[in-house]
Amino acid sequence: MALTPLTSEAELSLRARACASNPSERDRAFREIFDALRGQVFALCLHVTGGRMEAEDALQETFLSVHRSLRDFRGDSKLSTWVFRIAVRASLAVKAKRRSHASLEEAREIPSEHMSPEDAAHTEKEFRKMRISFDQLSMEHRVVLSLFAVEGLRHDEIADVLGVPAGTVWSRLHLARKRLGALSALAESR
Amino acid sequence: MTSCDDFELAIEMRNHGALPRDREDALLAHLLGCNGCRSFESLSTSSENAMSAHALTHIQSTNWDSLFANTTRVIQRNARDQILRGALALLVATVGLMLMSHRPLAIALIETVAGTLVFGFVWLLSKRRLTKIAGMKQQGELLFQHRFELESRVRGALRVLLLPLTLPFIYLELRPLLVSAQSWIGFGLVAAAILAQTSFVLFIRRPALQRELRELTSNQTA
Repeated sequence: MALTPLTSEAELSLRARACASNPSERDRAFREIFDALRGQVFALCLHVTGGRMEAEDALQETFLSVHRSLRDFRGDSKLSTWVFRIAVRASLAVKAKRRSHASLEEAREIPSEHMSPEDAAHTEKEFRKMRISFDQLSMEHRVVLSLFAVEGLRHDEIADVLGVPAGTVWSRLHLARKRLGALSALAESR
Repeated sequence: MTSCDDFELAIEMRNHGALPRDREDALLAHLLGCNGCRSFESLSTSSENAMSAHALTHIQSTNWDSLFANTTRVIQRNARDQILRGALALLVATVGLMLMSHRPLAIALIETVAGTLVFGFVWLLSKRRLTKIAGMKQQGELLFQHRFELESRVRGALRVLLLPLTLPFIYLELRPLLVSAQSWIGFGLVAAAILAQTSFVLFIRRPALQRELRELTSNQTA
C-alpha cells in the first residue's frame, strides 16, 4: 500500500486550499486528500464491510461527506483522523444496508494477480476462515480490529478516531481478539 | 505484568510497535513457558496478516482514477440536484402566485410561503445533520445517531398512511393541469399515484428499513 502520510503542515495547507474561493484550487486540494488517504480508507472500509463493492460504496460516501463538510471542519483533530471517523460511519451505514451473506460470497473473489497461486489460495483460505467469525463480532469489536489492521495507523490515532483513551483502545483490541479467537475455535469444533 | 491477560495485551502492543523495550524481555520469557499466550500471539498475527493481505490485493487491483471520477460525478450531480430543488421551490412559489388569480389572495400567499419554507427547512435540516455527524467523535455517538435515524425513518414511513387523506386537496390543486372535461380521469390519476406511493413505502421501503434496524440491533447486542 503506497502510503503518503500527511504532515501537519501539509494538512493545514490542504485545508486552506480546500476552502479557497478558486474552484480549480479546491478540486486539486480535494484530489490530494483523496490520493493521500484512499488506500487506508479503502482498507478500513473493506475490513468493516467485508466486501469490495461495499467498500467502494463506503469510500465514495466518505469522500462525498469530506467534500461536503470540509469547509465546516473545525480542525480540532487531524484531517486524517476526521476522515477515518467519517469512513467508520460510512462503512457501518453501508454494512447495515447490505445483507451479510453478500460479503461472504464476495470474500471468495480475492484477486490473485499480484500473488502466486499458492499464496493466493492460502490467503483466501485463511481469510475466509477468519471472516466468518469476524462477521459475528459486535460492531465495536469489528471496528477496532479493522482500524488496527489498516497499515500505517498508530494506536493514538485510532484512539482519536474512536474518541476513547489509548488504554481503552488496547483493552478493546484485546477483548475483540479474544472473542474472535473464541468464535474461530467454536467454528472449527463444529 | 502478572497475568496472561496482561501478557496478551503486551503482545498486541508489541505487534503494533507500542511496547516499551523493558517489558519486551518479560514478555519473551513468559511466551517460552505459556502455550495459551503463544496461541494468542499466533491468532493475533495470523488474523491481522490475513486482513492486511486481503486488503492489499484489493487495493492493488483498484482503479483509483475511475473511483475518483465516480465520486466527483456524484458531487456534480448533487450540486445539480440542489439547483433542481431550488428550481422546484421556485416553481411551487410560482404556481402559488398563479393560483392567486383563482383564489383568495391570502390562501395563495400561504401556499407560496409554506412551499418555500418547507424546502428551506428540509435543506437546513440536512445540512445541520451532516455538520453534526462530521463533528461526532465517539463511535457510540455515530451508532446511536445511525440507529436513531433508522428508527425515525421506520416511524416516519407510517405517515404515508395520511397521504390518501390529502387526495381531495391534491386533486383540487392539480385540477387546472389535468383533464378538465372528464374530471374522474384526473381524480383517478391522482388516486393511482397516491396508491402507488403508499404501497411502495408500506410494502417495500418500510420492511427494508425494519430489516436494517434488526441487523443493526443484533450486531450491537452480539
